[in-house]
Formats: sequence, C-alpha cells, structure tokens
Amino acid sequence: MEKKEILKIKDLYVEVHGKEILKGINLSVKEGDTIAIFGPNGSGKTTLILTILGFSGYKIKKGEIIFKDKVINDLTIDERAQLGIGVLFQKPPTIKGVQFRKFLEVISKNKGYIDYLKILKIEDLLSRDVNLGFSGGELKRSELIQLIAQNPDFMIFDEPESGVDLENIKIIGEIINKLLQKDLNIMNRKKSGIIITHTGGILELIEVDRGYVLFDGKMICEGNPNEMLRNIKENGFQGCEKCLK
Amino acid sequence: MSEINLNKEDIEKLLRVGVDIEEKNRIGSFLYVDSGVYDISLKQEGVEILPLNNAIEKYEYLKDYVFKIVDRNKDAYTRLVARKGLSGFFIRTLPNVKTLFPIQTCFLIKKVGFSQLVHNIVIAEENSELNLINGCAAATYSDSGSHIAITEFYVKKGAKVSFTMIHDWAPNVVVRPRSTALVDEDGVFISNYVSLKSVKSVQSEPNVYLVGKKAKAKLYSILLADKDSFLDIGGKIYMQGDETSGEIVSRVISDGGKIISKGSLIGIGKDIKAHMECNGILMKEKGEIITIPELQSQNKDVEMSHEAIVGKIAKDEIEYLMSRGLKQEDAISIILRGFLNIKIEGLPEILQKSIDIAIEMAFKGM
Repeated sequence: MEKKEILKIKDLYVEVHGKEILKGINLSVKEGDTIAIFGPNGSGKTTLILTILGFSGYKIKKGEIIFKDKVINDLTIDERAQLGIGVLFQKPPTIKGVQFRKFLEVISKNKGYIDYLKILKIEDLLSRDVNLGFSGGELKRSELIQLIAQNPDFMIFDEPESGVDLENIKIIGEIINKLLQKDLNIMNRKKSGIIITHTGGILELIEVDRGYVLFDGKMICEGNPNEMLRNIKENGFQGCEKCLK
Repeated sequence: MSEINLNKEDIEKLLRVGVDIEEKNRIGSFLYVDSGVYDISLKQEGVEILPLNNAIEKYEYLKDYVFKIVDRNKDAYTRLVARKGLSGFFIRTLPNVKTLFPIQTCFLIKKVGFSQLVHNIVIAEENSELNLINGCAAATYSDSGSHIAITEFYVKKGAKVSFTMIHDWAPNVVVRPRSTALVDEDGVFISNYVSLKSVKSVQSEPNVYLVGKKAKAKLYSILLADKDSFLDIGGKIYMQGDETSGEIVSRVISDGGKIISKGSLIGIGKDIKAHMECNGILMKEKGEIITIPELQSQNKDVEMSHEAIVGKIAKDEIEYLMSRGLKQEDAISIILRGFLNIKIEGLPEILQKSIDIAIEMAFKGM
C-alpha cells in the first residue's frame, strides 16, 4: 500500500531581505518517513525550515507548500503548528519571567510529557525561566520536551546534535527515535520528520529513509542518506555539485 | 464605623488590588473610603493600627514623626494635605515583633470626582518586621477624582518594612503619592509600586534616607500605561550611612501611554553599593518611555551602576511561542507578563503572589 504524502513542496522560491535564497525547491515527505537534509552553511537550510513554519521575513515568491493536502502558504505560524507541524530549534530564544513548568502546561495537548521529564533530566529546569541560562544539552532537552508536549505529526529537527556533549546526544537520539515512532513497524509509523544536519553525526543514532543535499538554494542530490554522508565526508559538498550535472 | 456600604463591584475591585476581604492571610486591615475610615481590624499583638488623628491624640510622641521627613511645603499637594488635617493610618510594630503575614491598607474612592487627601505614618521599632500591602482603587462607576497621600516611614535599627502598593484607579483619576522613609542601622525598606490599569496621571517619587550603617533600600515599579495614562514614577535613595545599599528597578510597558521612569542614587557614605535598572517595552507607535537614571557620589569607595533598555517586544520570542501553537495575542501576553514578572528579594511569598495576580488580572481580556 502506497503511503500518504504529509508534506509536499512544489517549485518553491523564497526571498529574504530582497535576496533570493531558495531557488525552486521540490520536496516530498510521506507519512511515517524521516528524511535528512544536508548542506553547507548558507545553503538555505534555515530559510527552508522557517518558510515551512511561516516565520516573518521569508517571502514566498513562487511555489506551494502543501501540508496534509492543504496549501499552507498563507497560514500563520500558530495555524501551521495547530495543523501538526513542530520544530526543534537550533538556537531557541529565552523567554524571561516565564516559568518553564507553566509554559509546558500552556503548550501541552495532554499530560503525556510528564513521563519524559525524568528521562530527559529536565525536572531541575522546571522552576527556571524558559531557556534562561540553559547549557547546550539543556536547550536541546528543553526543545524536545516542548515537542513531546505539543505532540505534532510532523517534526523538523534543526541540527539536533549541535553544541551537545556525547552523553546528551544519546538521550536526544533515543527521544527523537521515539517521537518518530521508530519502535513501530515501518508501515505503522504515522509521525514524519526532517532532520537538518551538516555534520551528519546524529544519523548514527537515528534511522533515516532518504537523504537530500541542499546547495545554493537548490536540492541537488537525493538518495541513500548514509551513502550520501560518506560521499560528503570524502569529497565535501563539491562532490554533490556533480549530481547537478 | 461608616455609613458607606461596599457593593459587590467594590469588593471585586478591592480583590484586584490585593485586598483579602476574608482576611485569611492578613494580620490586620485598614480600609478607608472617600474621607473616612471604613473598617479597622487587627489579629496580632505587638502591632498597632489606628486612624492617624486618633493616634496623635493618644500619643504625644507622634509630634516628632508627623511632617518630619516630608516637608509640608514641598509642593502644592503636601500643602493641601497639611491644611486639610490628618486622616489616614498610623501603623506601628513594637520592638522585636516580627509579623509573618501582611497588614492590608486600602483607599477607595466612591464619590465621583472626590479628592481624597491622606496622611499615613508607619513606625517599625527596633528589630521588628512589618509587611504592608496597600490597595488603592476607584469604584467602577467613578471615573474621576484625585488621591493625594503623604506617607512617612520610620524604619528603626534592625527593622524591616515592605510596602507593596497595587493601584487600580480610573481613567480620569489623578494620583500624587508623597512617600519618604528614614532607615536606621541595619534596617531594610522595600517599596513596590504596581500600576497596570488606566489612570489619568500618577506622579510619585519616594525618597529614602539610609542614615544608619548597612541600611538597605529597594524600590521596584511595575507599570503599564494605556493610551490615556501618564505615569511619572521615580525614586531617590540617599545613602548617608557607610556600607548602605540601594536598588531601583523598574519594568514598564507603554501600550500607547507615556511613562517617565526616574531614579536617583545618591552616595554620601563610604563603601556604598547601588544599582538601578529600567527596562521598557513600547507596544504602539504613539506611546513614549523616558528613562532618567542618575548616579551621584561624593566618595571614591562606591560601586554604583545603572542600565536601561527600551525597545519593542522581540519578534523572535513571539514567533517562537507561536510555533508551539499559541495565537499571536496569547504569545504577546505571555511575553509581557514574563517581562513584568520580577522576583523581589526579601518580599514575603504571599505579597509576591499578590503582585503576580495583579499582573495576571491586568492581562485578562487584553
């Protein structure tokens, strides 16, 4: 049985501050699938994520973003979140004066996240302000518990391994696998995701179905993520440019 | 004591300014409506609450406290109160009496257009502790009036006084508090001013004289000015004793109104520590925030600093919260509430909670 498409991006052109950053992106993610997007700094990875999320300043000049069969180009950020798009930010802002515990209560759909407070070693952070003075690992764990509380169907993980020590990376990998239902049979998985990574380290812990390379605003390669990663490690992103031809 | 009756709306309004009608978490109350004492109650020994005019008749020594640290000729408002006589509260803690729960004082304007004139005296004797919450409000139907209040605080050696004012006036009410505190050796004076509801104009600049060694003062303001409001709130701390310390902190939001946030830290003694911070957010094009920090020192052995930040609400924070599924207006409300939420060191939890509730209430339906 063919799996349903949850996200489809068609010929997407995006401008930031008047400069064209994404130049005709096509992408499809099926329900239950996880894809990885590789790309050097400045290739447009962040622009792609923030455009999918609907952040201000990312102007769609052409193309469509379709989520759950609905064109979401004109939806607000919260409307997209309510439809089931979630994100783990690489560098989340601090929200001063807002207690982390209360914030989780506000954004949570149910109380399911409470079981994860201990696993993610987050109990000590609950009485603090959201993200205030959190270490690299704590920030990622904070982002993960927020995702668990939000329980989206589609998740974008932006550089989940950046700034994180080895001990934390293991927990982060485990939780991402859990969120993406990697414990279920491949046909029974409903949750999908995009993992953005430029080092690829996190792929040792997370099973990914397909890989893409984003380069200068274009998707230039598609294939087996592990092979692609090996290639990038050996030849750099220059090797991928050959895919273009 | 009074012919005036408080209705349901009055009581609801009083709840919003921190008045606990059932007095569960209060050791005493002083309720004043228009120009008369409405009710006084007291549950703890070692504390006195009296109308000031009765106290002056009873205690001859009070002549040394009335208009001693506030100059009756300071301005038109002090002269007006001096001329009209002495009505307000007298609250005193006896030496070594430490009160766990606060005393609530409340001034309500019920008569439309009424000019409320008040003089209060607070004395915390040596090594005593007194926490006051002062709720001020105008009745819901009354949209005008004025409230002019002189308060003189005497914080004796080793004593601690906290004074938390929560105001909820009306769009045409003019408010002129004139407070001064005198703090002896090892004494602590904390003043918190919370004004989050519409008011025509408030002009207040409490003066604190830290005369004894190691005396401390903290002045906090939490302010929100809508388009009709003008808030001119300052504070002056004169650090005369050695090793004294002063702190002035304000968090202000202009939702179209004008706010002047002033502060003066004046170092006179040796080894003084003082810090001032004013953070402001402008929500609308038409609003205005002016910060005027002032540090003065006549001594080289001081550590004094100030910081001020004024700007708009951070867009990345709003969008971050929206990406968690919150509507834009809810995200803004959460960020603004968080911005105003400052933890006041040394303030009893129960009073911190009253401030938190006032902030929550102010953002309801905004």
